[in-house]
Amino acid sequence: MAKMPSRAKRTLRISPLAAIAAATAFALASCSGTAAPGGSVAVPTDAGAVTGELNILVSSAKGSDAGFKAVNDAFAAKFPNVKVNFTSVPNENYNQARTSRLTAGSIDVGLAGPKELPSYVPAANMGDDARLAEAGGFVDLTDQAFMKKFTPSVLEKIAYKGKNYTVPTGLSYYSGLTYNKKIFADNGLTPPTTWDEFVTLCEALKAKGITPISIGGKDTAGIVMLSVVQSLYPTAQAKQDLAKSLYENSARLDDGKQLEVLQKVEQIYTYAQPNFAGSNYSQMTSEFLTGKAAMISDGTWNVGSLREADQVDFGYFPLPASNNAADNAFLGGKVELTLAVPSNAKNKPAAMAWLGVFADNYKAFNEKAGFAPAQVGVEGDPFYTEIEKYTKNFEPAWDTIWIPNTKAGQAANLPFNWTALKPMGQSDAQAAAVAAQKDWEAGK
Amino acid sequence: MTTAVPVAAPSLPPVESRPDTVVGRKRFTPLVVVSYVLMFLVIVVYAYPLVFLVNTALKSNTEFLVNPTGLVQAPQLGNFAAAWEQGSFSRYVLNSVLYTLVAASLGTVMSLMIGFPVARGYVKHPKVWQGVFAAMLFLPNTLVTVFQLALRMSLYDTALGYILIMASGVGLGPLLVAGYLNSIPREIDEAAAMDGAGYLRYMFTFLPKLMAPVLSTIFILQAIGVWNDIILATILFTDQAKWPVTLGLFAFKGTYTSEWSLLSAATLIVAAPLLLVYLFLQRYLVASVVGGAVKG
Amino acid sequence: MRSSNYIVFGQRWTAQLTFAIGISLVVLFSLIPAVGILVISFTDIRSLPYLPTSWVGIDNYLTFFSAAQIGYNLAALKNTFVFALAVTFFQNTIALLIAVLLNQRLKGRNFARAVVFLPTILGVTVIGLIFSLIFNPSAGPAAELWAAFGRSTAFFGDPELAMTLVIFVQVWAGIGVAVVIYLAGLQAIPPELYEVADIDGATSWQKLRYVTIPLLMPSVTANTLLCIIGSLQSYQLIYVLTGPSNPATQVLSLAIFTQGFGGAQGGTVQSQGYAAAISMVQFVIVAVISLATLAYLRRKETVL
Repeated sequence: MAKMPSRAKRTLRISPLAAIAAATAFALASCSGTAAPGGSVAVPTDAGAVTGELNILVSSAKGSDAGFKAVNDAFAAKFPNVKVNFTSVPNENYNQARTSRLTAGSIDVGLAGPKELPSYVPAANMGDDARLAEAGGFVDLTDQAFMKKFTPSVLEKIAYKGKNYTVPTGLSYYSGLTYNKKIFADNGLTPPTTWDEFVTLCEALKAKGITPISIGGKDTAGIVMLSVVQSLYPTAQAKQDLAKSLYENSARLDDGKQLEVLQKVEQIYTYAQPNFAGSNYSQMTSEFLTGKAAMISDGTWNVGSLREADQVDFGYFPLPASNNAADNAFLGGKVELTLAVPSNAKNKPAAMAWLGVFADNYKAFNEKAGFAPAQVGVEGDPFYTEIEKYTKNFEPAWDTIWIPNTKAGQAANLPFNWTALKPMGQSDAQAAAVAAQKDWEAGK
Repeated sequence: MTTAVPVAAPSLPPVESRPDTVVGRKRFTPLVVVSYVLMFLVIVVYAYPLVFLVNTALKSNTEFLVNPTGLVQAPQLGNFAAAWEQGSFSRYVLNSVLYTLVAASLGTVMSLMIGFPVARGYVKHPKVWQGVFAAMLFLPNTLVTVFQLALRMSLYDTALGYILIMASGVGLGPLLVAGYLNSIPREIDEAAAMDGAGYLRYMFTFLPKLMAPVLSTIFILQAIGVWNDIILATILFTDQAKWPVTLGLFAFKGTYTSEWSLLSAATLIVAAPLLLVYLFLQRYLVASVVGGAVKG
Repeated sequence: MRSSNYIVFGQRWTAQLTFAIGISLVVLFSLIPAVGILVISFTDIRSLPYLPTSWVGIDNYLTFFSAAQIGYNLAALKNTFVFALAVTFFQNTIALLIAVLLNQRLKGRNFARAVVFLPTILGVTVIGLIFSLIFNPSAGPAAELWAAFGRSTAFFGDPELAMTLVIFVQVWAGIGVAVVIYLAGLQAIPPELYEVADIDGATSWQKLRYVTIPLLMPSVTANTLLCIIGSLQSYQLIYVLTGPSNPATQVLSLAIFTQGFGGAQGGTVQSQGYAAAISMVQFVIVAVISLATLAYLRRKETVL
């Protein structure tokens, strides 16, 4: 009977594997690192000249998807020779989808958020987008005509080293509380402006058997922390000073105002519904809409849903965590989705044309998306007019300024350790702060 | 000289119809009663949460916001049609069917092709290969490198690439085949060989009949994996015309909130075909009597 | 005498050729990419255009084991073992009993089989939704049941109870596959053995113990292995039910996911090389445990 030479076969099996591994390594090492093309591209004016396919990738949300559809319709009317492939992907998958498409070179317009790294933060903490911006991976949009349509202060917030690589789609605020106007009126209450007033208000509601604040468990317990930080460090400068002093180890997480943050968060948790740690976003919203809770710790992105439900007449005010009313005057927020054009986009003229159409039809976009407008003179939902006094100065929220140190432990990620606070965790404010400081020091 | 195959006497009725109690006549022995009670319990434990799903699928978005856990007050049967529309399922359903059928079939065939020779020792170092089969179950997540491989082989954004990658995820297949083959004695191989069956003919015509339960199991498990895949499809496909049904579910998920009632309705739509396939394959999950396949 | 692997079908090369064809697809798309992961774990690759890649040696591994992260990762590891052991034990035993139950000729058993199998088809997000509704601490059926005992708890938010509940849901969701595999294995048991047992006067319990279980060992091996590997690697359900960074239910696979792949817009901070390195660490842990389990179970198989 025939026998295959076994030794040859065995070596035949192993060496291809090794060879391919080596080839992979070599190929990977040489794949990325090509220099980025420089220069900018002008928005084409001749509709007939813009052809081909346009690939757009954004993260999905009911409002913004509808808004983008309106923009796409307007674009198709103006530039009929372009085939638009619009894809929206849930947030949790967005990074992987974008990375793979960037590698394959198949995005023309996508989302990006390059965050400038302050000098005191080690370079290892630079995010993907900042690195791409440094390497010239995004087209410089600063001098484009359509950029002038957007509010200059917003553009300033999203610039990277003085240049604008991204186009804003709107703003949202989240350092406040959505409140039920009827419950407040029935109980003779008005939105508080200082911490003491706030505590009194919550105690009054609690005494009447109404849940003062409904918190949606892990989904919104962190927003409480951000709201408190907004009052204790009201300006962008104050926040940056805090970040700097933490990195330089001249401030500690377990004393002073930093500890105060956790203490106040702990106290606010006592005004929430029982067992709120097991609740979630939907349940929190439902308690608000059925009148069981007077306030919810939420962001303005929920305005559309609350309007649609039409159950409660609601308003919004900043959570006052300081006894100095001036500190609590403005809401902290962020710029929502920001659009960018990668440098390896295959159809730059179409991308530019599309962004021009976006800027021109921003009103139609925002009517569906429901953000606070990023263009001057565009009216958003009347809700935003109502809170105008809180948004006159745009204050960036803490999570848009803070850059975590990847070398530090997990408890110092935010770096305020609310996940350890009872009832989310098992510690009190002091213990949680000490744990955070310990993890922060480990990353020195 | 061949001996009669001592597996089953041909005169016995098939497993299905034989009573399972020692004394066949009484219908309601204590054992049977207990069995029915237990089965009822199992059904309740499984059906109750699923009722919740259907309950959610029937609510309008507002009703869900106001009352997430209660019984639906105003059932919206239109949710299913709306979910079908919003998820563009009509475009994607054919894609999913194609990918699932081809990839699962290919995977099942491959499991057989590599499990059989290893179980019988027809290739060198069967124990090592068994270890490799086990190792394949816990390989690290290879999305990053598979993507690079597909890109360089020009399989990016192609249905062929997707199917090949999905088919190669055989998972438990070879192990199940090898395990099951331990209970099919070599004498059956010999009997078939004596009758003039070659290796290929044996593997592709005789064995599937003998191994129907295990091959159906492997097929359905792989089919579920392919049908429910989201992540590979997301990173491999740019062209929306190639999208499988699961990516239609993206339409309901938001950054902060999702449209839970429509998502529930959509998930039921996506799950329905798989359930039908499973019910269809049920009859194959029951063994045909081994002895019936071979004449003594 | 013939050797045990004597091939009855004539030449060996047909077998080896078809084997090679089958295995080559698997090797190409499963094994080679896995080797690729090992390779990139020694780099700082970001898989993005315009960003260079360089070798960093074992830096990624050192970061994972660094003083800052090690406490967190060890706690996650402990949770992982508890989770894996509990899920494997309960899922396998209950699935075996259900499979034996549903293998009998009972009316409506096809319906029961379909219902038990449905969670497998549904997907993690929806199962997470269902159970977060059922275990809603303020208004769900579980809360009402708990109140009947005069107690109240945050269920998934309660650090003491969360792990138990997560194990329960994981077992609930995973039984379907195990039952299907056991059912297939039950069909392999020659019915004459039951006949012989009946003639010897065995009770149903004895039949289960001396005929069914020993002959089912290959399925037990497959299921246990699948379950152990699955519970050591799976994080999606835990992520949906209790969030990405809940210390009470943090398992290693989830810690790996959030450190390596999680991230809001703006891309990740850690490189994909780092993510690959920590995937390799997980691979080694899972490999050691799985191969040990496999060896143990295979020995049991032959003994029985």
